[in-house]
Amino acid sequence: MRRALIYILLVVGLMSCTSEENCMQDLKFSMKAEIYRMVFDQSIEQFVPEKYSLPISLNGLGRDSLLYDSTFTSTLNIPLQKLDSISSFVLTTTIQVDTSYVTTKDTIDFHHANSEEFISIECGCIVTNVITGVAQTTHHIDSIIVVSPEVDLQSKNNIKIYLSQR
Amino acid sequence: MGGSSSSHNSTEEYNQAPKVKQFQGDVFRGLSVHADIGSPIISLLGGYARSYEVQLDVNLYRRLYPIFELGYATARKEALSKIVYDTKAPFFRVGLNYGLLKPFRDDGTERSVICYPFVGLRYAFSPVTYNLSNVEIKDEYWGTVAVEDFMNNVKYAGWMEVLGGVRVDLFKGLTLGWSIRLKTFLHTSAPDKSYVWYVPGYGKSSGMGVMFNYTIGYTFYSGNDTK
Repeated sequence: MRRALIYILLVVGLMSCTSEENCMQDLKFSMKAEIYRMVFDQSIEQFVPEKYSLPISLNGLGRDSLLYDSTFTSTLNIPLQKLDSISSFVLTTTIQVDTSYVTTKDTIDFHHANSEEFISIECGCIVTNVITGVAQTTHHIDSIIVVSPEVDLQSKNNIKIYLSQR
Repeated sequence: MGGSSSSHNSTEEYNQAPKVKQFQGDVFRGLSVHADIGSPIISLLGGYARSYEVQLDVNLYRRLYPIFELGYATARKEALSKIVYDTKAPFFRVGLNYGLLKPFRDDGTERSVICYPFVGLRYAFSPVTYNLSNVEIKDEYWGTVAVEDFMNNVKYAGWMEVLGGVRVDLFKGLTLGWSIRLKTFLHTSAPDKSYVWYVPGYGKSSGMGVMFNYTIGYTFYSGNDTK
């Protein structure tokens, strides 16, 4: 009986000891984009969107650090600013035209509202964004569609970038 | 055969002595007011929290003790993240203690129940008012940093407690008591319990809490009832 009581007190004591030191949650997230181009579908005789992988470089306007450096991809993770409501990026695409490679730069401005969300004293705050508008140059970009404006821990695909035919 | 049957019946009668009703006589048998002296003493030893509480319980049938507990706690903690959590709030508990000592012996005579072990159950609640300061918002890619404070947040938190303890009458109503409590968090109006890092009366909201109370107080017995 006494042994059982000591065991119960030990278990209860251990249960009450909880870690309070470091943030154990993965709280990193960013806006997700997919790149498309329009291709002509002979069977229905219409242009249809097709996911498009190509060498891409991406950096924030005024930032030297490249988020993507000639990376062959059709999906992008783009970090919107936490402390400003406009995030501007330079998207550089490289495509082969006949026998030569053509590099094109476009600038994209994302307008967004930011909300601070407290998680815990170990992890601090996250800042979620809601995209309120997009403006871009159209050197290679045809259009950008906002699919899901909420950029947070749950967001999957936020925008679709359509590239023009070259 | 007849003799054997008679003997069997008398044994049965002996084994099945009528059970003594434990809830009989006057309903109201007293009232106790207690103050917790354990938590303030532990607070003096250091730590980030201070807690003070008083208890008021009613003695019914010398077996059931409906109880109301009122407290006030403060806590201030700086985490490794440098965020400072600061709370000051009251807390309330309502529940029942059940005396484990039978007020009546098997022969029907009354037993003294001024010292008794008990088990109990509580529902507790606190309107947690808290400040978060020195919250750093760092944007690594864009190279920007801001430090913000979130002041005067109010969220509700509720929890359950299961407890066991002993109450002892030292001298003509001067009573001491101790109890050990196991707490489990039930609900909060915050999006997550991590928002309310420390809940007055509960402790750290993460995990299951354990608390030890040591109380001193006075019991007012009804009429001449000092049993």
